[in-house]
Amino acid sequence: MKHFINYSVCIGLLLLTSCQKDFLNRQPLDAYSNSSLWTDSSDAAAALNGVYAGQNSWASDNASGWADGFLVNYMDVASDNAYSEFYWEGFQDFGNGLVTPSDPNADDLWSPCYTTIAKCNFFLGNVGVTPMDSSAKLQMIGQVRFIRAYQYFWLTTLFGDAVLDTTTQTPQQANTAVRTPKAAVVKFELREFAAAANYLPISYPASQQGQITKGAALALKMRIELFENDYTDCVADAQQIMNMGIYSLYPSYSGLFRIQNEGNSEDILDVQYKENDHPNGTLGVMLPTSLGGWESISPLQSLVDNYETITGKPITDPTSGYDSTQPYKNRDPRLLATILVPGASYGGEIYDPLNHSSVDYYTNYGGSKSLYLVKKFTSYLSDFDNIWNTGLDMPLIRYAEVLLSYAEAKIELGQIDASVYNAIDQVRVRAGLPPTDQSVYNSQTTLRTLVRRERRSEFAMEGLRWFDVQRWKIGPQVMQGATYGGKLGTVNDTTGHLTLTGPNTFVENRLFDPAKNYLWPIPQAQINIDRNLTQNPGYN
Amino acid sequence: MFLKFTGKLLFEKKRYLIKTLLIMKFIIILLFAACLQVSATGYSQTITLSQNNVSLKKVFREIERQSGYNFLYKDKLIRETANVSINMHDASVEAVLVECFKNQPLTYSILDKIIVIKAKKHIPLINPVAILPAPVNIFRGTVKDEKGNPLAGVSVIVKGTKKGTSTSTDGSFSIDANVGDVLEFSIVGYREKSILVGQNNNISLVMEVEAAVGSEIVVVGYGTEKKADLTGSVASVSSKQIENRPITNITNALEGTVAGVTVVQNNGQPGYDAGTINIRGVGTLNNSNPMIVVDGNIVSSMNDINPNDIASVTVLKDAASAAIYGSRAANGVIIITTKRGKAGTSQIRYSDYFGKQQATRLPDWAPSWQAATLFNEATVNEGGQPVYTDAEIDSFKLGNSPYNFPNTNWLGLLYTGNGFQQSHNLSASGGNDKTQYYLSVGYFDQNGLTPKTNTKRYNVRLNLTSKVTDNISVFANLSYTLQPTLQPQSSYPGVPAFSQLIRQANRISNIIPYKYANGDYGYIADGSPMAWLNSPSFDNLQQTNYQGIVGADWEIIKNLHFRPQLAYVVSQSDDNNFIASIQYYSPQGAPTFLQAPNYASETYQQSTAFTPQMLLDYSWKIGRNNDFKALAGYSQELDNWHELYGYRQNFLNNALSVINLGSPTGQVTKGDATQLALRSYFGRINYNYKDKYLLEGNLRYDGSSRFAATNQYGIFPSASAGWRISKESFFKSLTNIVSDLKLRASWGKLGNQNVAGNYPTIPVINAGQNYVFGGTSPVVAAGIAQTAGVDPSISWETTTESDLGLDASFLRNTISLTADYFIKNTTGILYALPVAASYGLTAPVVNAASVRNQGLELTIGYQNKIGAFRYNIIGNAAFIKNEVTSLAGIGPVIGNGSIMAVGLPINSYYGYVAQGFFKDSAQVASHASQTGISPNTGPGDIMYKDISGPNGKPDGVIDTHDEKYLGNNFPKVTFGLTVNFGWKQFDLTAFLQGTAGVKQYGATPGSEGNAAGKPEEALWDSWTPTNTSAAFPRPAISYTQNYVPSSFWVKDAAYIRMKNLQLGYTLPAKLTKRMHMQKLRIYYSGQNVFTFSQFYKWVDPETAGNSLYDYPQVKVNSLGLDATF
Repeated sequence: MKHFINYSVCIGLLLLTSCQKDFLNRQPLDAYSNSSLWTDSSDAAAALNGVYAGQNSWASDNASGWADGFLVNYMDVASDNAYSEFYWEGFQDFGNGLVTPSDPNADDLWSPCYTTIAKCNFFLGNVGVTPMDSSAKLQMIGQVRFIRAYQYFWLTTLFGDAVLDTTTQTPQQANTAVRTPKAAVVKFELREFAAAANYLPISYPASQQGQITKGAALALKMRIELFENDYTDCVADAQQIMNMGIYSLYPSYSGLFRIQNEGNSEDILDVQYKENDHPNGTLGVMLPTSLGGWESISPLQSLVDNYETITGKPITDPTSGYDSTQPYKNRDPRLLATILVPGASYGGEIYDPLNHSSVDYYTNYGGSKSLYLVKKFTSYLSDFDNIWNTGLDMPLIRYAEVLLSYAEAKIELGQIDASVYNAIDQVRVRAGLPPTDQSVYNSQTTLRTLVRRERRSEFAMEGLRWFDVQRWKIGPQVMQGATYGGKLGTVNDTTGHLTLTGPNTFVENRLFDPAKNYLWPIPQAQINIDRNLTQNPGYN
Repeated sequence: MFLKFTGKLLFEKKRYLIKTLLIMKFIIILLFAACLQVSATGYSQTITLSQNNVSLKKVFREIERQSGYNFLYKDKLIRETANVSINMHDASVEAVLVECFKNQPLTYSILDKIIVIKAKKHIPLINPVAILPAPVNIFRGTVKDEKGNPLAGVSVIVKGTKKGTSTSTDGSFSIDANVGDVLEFSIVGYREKSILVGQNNNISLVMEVEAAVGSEIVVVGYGTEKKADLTGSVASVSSKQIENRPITNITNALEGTVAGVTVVQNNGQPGYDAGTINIRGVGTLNNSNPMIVVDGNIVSSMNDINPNDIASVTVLKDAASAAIYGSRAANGVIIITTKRGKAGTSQIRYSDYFGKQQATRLPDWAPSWQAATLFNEATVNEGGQPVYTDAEIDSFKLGNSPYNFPNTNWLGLLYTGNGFQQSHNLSASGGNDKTQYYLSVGYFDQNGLTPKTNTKRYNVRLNLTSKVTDNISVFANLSYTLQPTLQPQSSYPGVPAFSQLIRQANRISNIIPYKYANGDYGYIADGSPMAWLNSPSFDNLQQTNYQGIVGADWEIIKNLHFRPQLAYVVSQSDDNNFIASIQYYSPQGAPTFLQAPNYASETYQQSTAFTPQMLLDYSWKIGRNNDFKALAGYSQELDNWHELYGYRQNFLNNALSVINLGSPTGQVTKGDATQLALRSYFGRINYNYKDKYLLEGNLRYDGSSRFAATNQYGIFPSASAGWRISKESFFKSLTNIVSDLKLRASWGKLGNQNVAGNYPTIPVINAGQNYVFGGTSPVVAAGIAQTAGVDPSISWETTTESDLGLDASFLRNTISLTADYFIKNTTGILYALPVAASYGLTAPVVNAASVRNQGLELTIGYQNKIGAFRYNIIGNAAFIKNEVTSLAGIGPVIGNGSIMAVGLPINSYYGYVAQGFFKDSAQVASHASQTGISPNTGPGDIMYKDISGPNGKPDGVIDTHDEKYLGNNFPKVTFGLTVNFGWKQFDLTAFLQGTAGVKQYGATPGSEGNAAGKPEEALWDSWTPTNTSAAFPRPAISYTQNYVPSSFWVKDAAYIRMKNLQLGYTLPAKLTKRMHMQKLRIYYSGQNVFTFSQFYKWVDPETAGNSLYDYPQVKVNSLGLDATF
């Protein structure tokens, strides 16, 4: 017995412990390795999908993506269109000019672009060896080059000079990288969009809708040319898109943003979402408290005032029919399609931020200090089961922008012809306004005023306004000083009738230093790591 | 609750109990019958001896020669025995032995033909045949203490019977006993003694004060050591310090008991209240939890152990003592040994307690009229109009309109749980010299302060040791723990956590009615915390832990032991979650918003650890004075972890929650698995010269699968030395004053590979990088991508620690002192050092930073008695300084209000320096511009100091250049103080614990609000033009200028807390005897009884961070009993 125990214990333990030479060699059980990838087109397709997945930490509630619907919603807070009450949501201090380099939100807008760029570089650096049909491969490469250039478009527009990487980086390279001048990076963007346009198809089968098309590449190229005052090329690209014959304005402005109308004729490029699996989780931030929303984004009075009256005249025009006691009546229909105003019927109730027993009272914590809320993407609440988990795609560029960019470029070139009025009027008439009064808008100056007003109304709360403020250099005029919301008064909670006695609610004081605020600060956290990164002027 | 145990009920309960215990005893006997080996019967061979003043050894040799018996003993044991004189003729072996062992600290037992000599720790097993039945005699005697004073109240029990008495005031006793019986003497505060009843019927006994002297055996890595022989810094905690406290887990029991060990308990929520432990400061940026060893097996958590099963806890603090565990010991080691049976005894023990919890501190929210007033002030301050009229504020004050002008006490609604907790433990232990057992069952049940918070823990343990042959013994420690824990959940979208519920209850304004007149819940944008609490939502976490350790000890040749051991631990957790959908209604009863969808999820995780281990140890002697011990060992560990997750939403209603009832649309399944392997070789050698000079060396060679093959292994050496000066001959004259003095010095290296993720060196292409295509009919496009950066060249994080120590005791051990000074440098800390964004992947883990901890630890004890009044005091304190010494050229890493920088403690507080409040707008204008912080800065706002600018000088602008280090959360001093009093049958233990020189940042006093957000009562003292010497800046709603990180919000969080107070009464032995018990103690025990602190009065100073999310700390008052049969 004794010997049996002795031997069995020894032998047993030796067997258990000593024989496995690879005991410490443990590979992940839940991930692939690069060495076994790139064997055929399906590997490449999966890697392509991985590029589309991007990594935008801008949106903690959204599924990640190569572009982000969250920015479509929030970027207007960084402009004169809106205000965000919650500074931790990251945009308030971009609006009021208080952003500092150590603000974590600066990093939240810088770093995610590079995550997606790294994915693109990884794909482009590896896909070459994949044995597959070369035209299919080129089409994939075109999409990835577009996505990479799109990230640089954001970086140069927000931050100016950017670190330009076209290959996979090591930590050492990244930590010593320098910024390339904006002009050179923009040149790179234009070249990439042009190249992508050559490779990309005009359209995809329905099941692949949302992949980058030739039209999208041309439209982005056109947008950058407009931003860079390269009007001639802008007009050419716009014309090329208009001549493709596949894009047209969707008849209903408010219907344009509904989930059932995704992929309509006006849609050139959008970010795709799917309920549950890849949800758009930010729509709820715009809803009133009474409907379970956060009221995070408050449009400002200056945006409301931008809308013409139904007569097609600005409210400053005494003949416009504007009634300051009923300011939301008889206005450009896009106003009420975009903005939820006091007294409006919404979600089965009357929105009332004026009565302090109302859950939506404007001074409540979380109430909209401007009285206004955004409804552009949520006009039809019944479209959604759960507002925090929707499949609503968010527009990145639509045909209306091509038309108005064409018009603007032509106006700036001084080439005012019928095509200019035609382009603008397509947009106005679809919105429900009369065509341009050519007797009033007959010069470059007046037309410039009109097209700029038109752009602001048409694209309000779609994240484009900051770009326009920046390139038109109108910061000091529109983003400086006190900002206001709607007029105080009472709402009849049954009829929605407004009795407005004023004054306008005060929202916040804003600062704008043109020597500084046209660019956002390079995040201090990045400069702390990479000492070669220079800071933008005014932020030191 | 305890009332049930008094009066008549007590006896009913007792009878019931005894019956149960008898049944138990019977079951145990049956269970063990098969294992027990019958003791050897007697031998009648005779011996003749005539020896005068010879050593025992010589006598033994003679007996061996004459009888053919063999003696088995450790040399050490009989080295210090007195010489004997024996003159016997034809006597039995037994009779000779009785003579030999008279007045010796030894006892013996006979197995086959082997006489085993043991220290008299165990009660000798008297061979029944050898002892002639003697007539019943009355034995008398007196018991005295060391100073010769008579000792009253000493319980005297005839071992193995129910016969007993206790000494009277003159220390005398008389008892019926037979010759050969064993009398056991015990009294609190003194070491238990037992004597064999001989012919002499006048017994005189001196009881010794129970003292921590050097002979104490301390568990160390892979073995035990006499405390006097220790050369490393080791502290131990006995079961006495753990038992009978209403603590919920062993982590919390350690708080304050050992110098240099800090435990921070973050809250008191049932099942989630385990604190975090740090030994000698935070030495790493990774997990800084110490390594836990239970019965020789390395485990990940000790919280599933029943505190009542613990025999001892040892803390290995310095590198030298921990180095034998090399790879994972850099944060110190906590060794837990569970109880074992003792040969020759059999004991049934039952203990219980019933307690009630209360919050230590709760936020003190201002009444609604004050909230409304402050809200008005804040609105006006921000350029708006007052919201509430004076008449409305009066209505709030009057409180006669509960629906329109309520003052809802949300915390009063939330904390309506009964907070009742109870614990029951029943154990049986004992055995004979071959087989010993310890069997216990434990039950713990705790309700929280909030309804639906509960945890229960069921523990079963069987520890069994048996000698299979003369030189082989085997053991098995088997334990099972089941712990279900329940907590409510919120229906707040995306954040179902219970903490969200607590947060909202601390946020929703008192101005919001709990319910409207129509019975529907009042609510804010996020919902109603009470609607959540009262909904069917729940989170039920069921944790089970099976642990089996089996092993053997084979003494191959004398003093050479081969000790193999196999451990297998399976931990499972099954987390079931259901979140109900909630429809809200307007005061008019119309449906408003819906928190939906409802959903259920289940997460099942299982981790297993398989750990074989082999030890070989040998001790030998060279000459008379050179004692050597050597140990060699091998161990490996394979951890497997996997997880399975399922989710469905849109249940028809909130009634049922099994996943299958949810809609398959939107369902989610996930699964994952990881592995980790470790392999180690280690050795130790001890040298002891005359108990005077002590040397120890350790070497460990560890491999981890976390590293690439070329960097897998690390070598961790250590050495230590001790000098017992008090053993030197020149010290002799001093020993009256200094009874014991030892100097220690140690140096060692330890490793750490415990970084997030098990594969930090392997670049992988992850699945799940998905997107969707398809517009109105979207389909998921499954994608893959590399997302994580890796550095394949990383290797072990290394901690090098030097320690100088001193152990001393004075005045015949009445005063004891232990002091240690240490320097602990951790280098190559495995840390995901920030990489510039253009790298594009997550930062790889690299051997980056260095951190140094240095400090001093002191433990001082004093014990004495005055008449019947006995007391002892043990105090400990640690002074530790933490400092980041390198960040590999990166940084400083500045977060929101925090900084990680070379020369500062880890994660220090960082921000502006507050200089009081602005008096008026003239001062705002003349002070350095704070426009960069807010253009709205005005009178009543915090004025920040202009410290510096881009040119290193004050520049008249307050910006990032003016931020500085504002303190840190590492206490400069942590201390504990235990005071024990004993008086006759009473005992009192008070345990105080605290910190000094510690800051806390970010405990907010709430905010002005009338929906979400509410002010603390303290904010009533906010700045106004007429109250300029206020405690807080002017009220504000959205202005943030006063809430940017600044010294204004950094507070001194030092505290002293009575962690435990215990008052016990042990029934007199006479009474206990009549109740057929050996001992019965009843006690009151309080946990967190009171606290002194300068910190905000609404936040518990021990709780880190923002109290709005935290379940409060609790104090527990309990009554319990502890009975031994």
